[in-house]
Amino acid sequence: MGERALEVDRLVKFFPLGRRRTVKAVNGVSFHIDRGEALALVGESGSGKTTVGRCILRLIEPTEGRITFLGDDVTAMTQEQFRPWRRRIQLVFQEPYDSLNPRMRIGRILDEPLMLADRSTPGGRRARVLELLDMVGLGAAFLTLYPHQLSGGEQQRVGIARAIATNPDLVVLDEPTSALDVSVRAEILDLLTDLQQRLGFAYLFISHDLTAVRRVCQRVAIMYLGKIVETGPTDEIFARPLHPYSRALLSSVLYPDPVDQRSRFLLAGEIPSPIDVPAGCHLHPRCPWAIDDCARDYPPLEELLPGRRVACFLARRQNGIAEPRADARSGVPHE
Amino acid sequence: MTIPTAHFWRFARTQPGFLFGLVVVMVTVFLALLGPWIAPYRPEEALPGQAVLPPNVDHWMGTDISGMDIFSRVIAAPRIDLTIALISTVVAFVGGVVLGVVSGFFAGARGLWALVSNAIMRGADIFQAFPLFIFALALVGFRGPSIQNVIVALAFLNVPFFLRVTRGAVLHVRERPFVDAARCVGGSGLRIAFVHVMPNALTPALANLSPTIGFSILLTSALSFVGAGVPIPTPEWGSMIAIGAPNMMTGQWWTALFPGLALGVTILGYALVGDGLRDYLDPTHRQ
Amino acid sequence: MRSWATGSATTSTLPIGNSVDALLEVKDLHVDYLRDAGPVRVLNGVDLTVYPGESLGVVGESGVGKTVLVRAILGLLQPPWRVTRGQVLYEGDELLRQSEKELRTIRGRGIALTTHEPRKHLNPVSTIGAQIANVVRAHATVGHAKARERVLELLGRVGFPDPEARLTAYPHELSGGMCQRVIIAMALAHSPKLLMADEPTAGLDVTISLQVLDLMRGLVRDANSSLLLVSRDLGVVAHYCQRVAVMYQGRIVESAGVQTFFERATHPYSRRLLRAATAARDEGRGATTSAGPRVAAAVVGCAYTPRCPVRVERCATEPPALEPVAAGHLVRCFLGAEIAAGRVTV
Repeated sequence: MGERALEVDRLVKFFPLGRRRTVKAVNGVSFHIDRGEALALVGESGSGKTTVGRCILRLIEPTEGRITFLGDDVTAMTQEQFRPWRRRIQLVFQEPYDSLNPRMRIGRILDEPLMLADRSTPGGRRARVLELLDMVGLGAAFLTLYPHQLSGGEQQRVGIARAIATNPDLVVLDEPTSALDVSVRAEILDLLTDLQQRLGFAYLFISHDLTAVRRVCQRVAIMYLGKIVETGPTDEIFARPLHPYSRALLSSVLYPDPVDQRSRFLLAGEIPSPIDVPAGCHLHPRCPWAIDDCARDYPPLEELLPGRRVACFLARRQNGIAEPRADARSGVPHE
Repeated sequence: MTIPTAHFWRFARTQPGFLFGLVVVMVTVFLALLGPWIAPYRPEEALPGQAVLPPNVDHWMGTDISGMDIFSRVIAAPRIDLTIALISTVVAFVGGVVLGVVSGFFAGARGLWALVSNAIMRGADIFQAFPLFIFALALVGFRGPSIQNVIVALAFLNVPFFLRVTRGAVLHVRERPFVDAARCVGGSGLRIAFVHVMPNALTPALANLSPTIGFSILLTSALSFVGAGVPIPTPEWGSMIAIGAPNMMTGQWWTALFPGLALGVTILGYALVGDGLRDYLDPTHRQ
Repeated sequence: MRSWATGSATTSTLPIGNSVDALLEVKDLHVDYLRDAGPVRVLNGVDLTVYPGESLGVVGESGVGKTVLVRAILGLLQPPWRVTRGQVLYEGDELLRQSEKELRTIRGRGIALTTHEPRKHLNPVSTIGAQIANVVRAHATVGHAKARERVLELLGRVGFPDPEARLTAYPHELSGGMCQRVIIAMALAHSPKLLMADEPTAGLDVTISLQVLDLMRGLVRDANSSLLLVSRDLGVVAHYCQRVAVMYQGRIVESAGVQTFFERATHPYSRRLLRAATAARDEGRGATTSAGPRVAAAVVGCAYTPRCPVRVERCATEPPALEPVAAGHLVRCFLGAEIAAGRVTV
């Protein structure tokens, strides 16, 4: 296991809503990302995935919990103390156009992080801006353009160039492709993978789209209503999701293939609001496996298979995994 | 902010009110620059034995009670009125925008800046609750009537206005993702506020520049009318109306009518320019 | 648990050619958007046919004019939009020449529309019960009690667990998925022969999208109506439609049966779309070509020419026609036959 780039420990973020009610956006989330690793944080609306990202970037302050970045506790810092760290943790936004200042030319947008990060000469910075444009597949012609003169894909490339300008250790990707058209989406994903392989930063890829993260990430954490329900290596989760919610998410992906032979696994009803989170396991009102226990207690996130942690009382039984007292690791039946 | 000229004229051509306003603005600027020189008589010269003459070939708008040529005074007045209005409005604009950006950007924050933000707003409340005339009269009482005092009084009056419209825009702009992006690349609060937020929050204040100039001309006249403004005999529309008002009652209508008309048309023109600019700056108008 | 395969359509029932009378025929439809600087052509000769009982998917990326197309069919375009040429035939009647009054009898009863962003299309200050009742009474004189009964029935059919309780709910109290269900209930109030669904799952969560699509397919099938589903998602079309029409820059560039399309898409643009969509599943990298330069000026010939990897000289100067490369498989490309036969690879 490599050096930890990021460690998130029991992160909690509640938003007070009037006097009595609270939005429990994130409720005890722990995970880590190694240096150079890409972790996906996947979930639907209300899962709290975006809130986790915003807490890591200190765009909002966590209610509880600790975020450790390269061994240093960043939650203990004030905003002013954290500012020099920002060049090492960067963000790529969901809305490519809205994330660029409409009154700034592309050249200036890319120059800003460099200017704030070091004292190098304007000439040196200009060379770096050109290098960045080249790295994301845009040319020097873009320097003098305004954001609205670019296509969505080009805007997102600029957003990516800005994020990698200061050679960060961690890049948080907040739904970087969901506002783009299908054909552009693939190009952006390729670019992201390519940049990571060349430059070696770690990714936290936040998305609702499992197929998008599959191309980029080695590990996946799946969230539902403020908690992680399953984590594991991407390929294994795709081949055999253990948690019922992961299963439903994967089954909901419509592949462009009319003779799709996969079996369907559907959840009933609506996603509850994070203001009124169901007691016990948050999924139990929608889950086809639910038993009485599920309505009472929240299941712990346990390691069912090597590297795979699942929060479900029934995951073992439903997936045919032996109880832990036996030597579970060797007796796992693979499909 | 750049205004593409061709696009601007294409827009202006379709708006007759805006065009009329532009003409008024240009005429007042022209008169402010050259009015006293092109006037047929010296505006402050009382012509002996020619008091209260009705409009005639020599005096197109007649003369007032001291025998001064009203036409000359009407076209010389923009120099004073426009200067006062322009300086006071620009001062108020700069002050109001800066305070509006600070108070809006840091509203709801924590720490020292939040205190500053709150202090600015309470200051604005107090100022707006305080009647202008009392303030101007007090100032005049302290320092005597002068053009500087009128400028100071008007600037103070207009600061809270620009402050509020800018603050409103800032509260909206600061929620946009590019502001988060600026924070993520390591910009300080003040840098984000003035480099990223302010340029995107100027439209309402800019659109209100012109109407405020018009309104300031009206207020200058009003202050002069009650004797707290520009000292007589400086040519100024408000004081001319004040001088002419008693004659109006006795049938010499020209003494107050012509400066009044000039004042009215000017204010209307500036307001129309403001309306047009607001439509033009509205991003949905582009393309 | 159901398999995807059983859920999707069988191609054998596909009506081909003119053996069946078309329910809706769009011929050479041109729509302009008028600006100060001059008109912009948004639809550039759309040809489209929907047969009774079938579901047709219209696929295209954002900005190709999908939404304009469905609105033009219903005569809903207002200035600055203008239909400049073409025909819309519904059961043989020309809709474009009908008066607003005549169109109103067709909207809802003949052709109904569900929109994306359902919440925006609901009145925020009126209860959903009242809004559906309005639709129910638009084409039929029914009493208050009768209308209420019908509203409850519709809410039940679109999957509201407790219709009675939801009658008095306001749109903001409902989730996006529930709002889409309300829109579907309205669209189905008068059992239309054709349901046009414009991006029905845009903005919905994936687990909710499936519920909505399943519901829509079930309701359309039960009523033996036709479905025209507009989407940018090839996955949705693959699973919920029998035929596919691909739209690019205001034209249909390819139409085919769903299996034919996903096995042998022929137009270079269709292939590119398909590659991009399958790349996500197969994890294959480098499968997509570059987007290339954006097109600013209108092209005289085929609109895809600047981005097309197999373009020939005439592509830029004359527009290709939508021509069959096989029975029921139309392609708008000079090289269509060559690509279909495998003599040219894209």
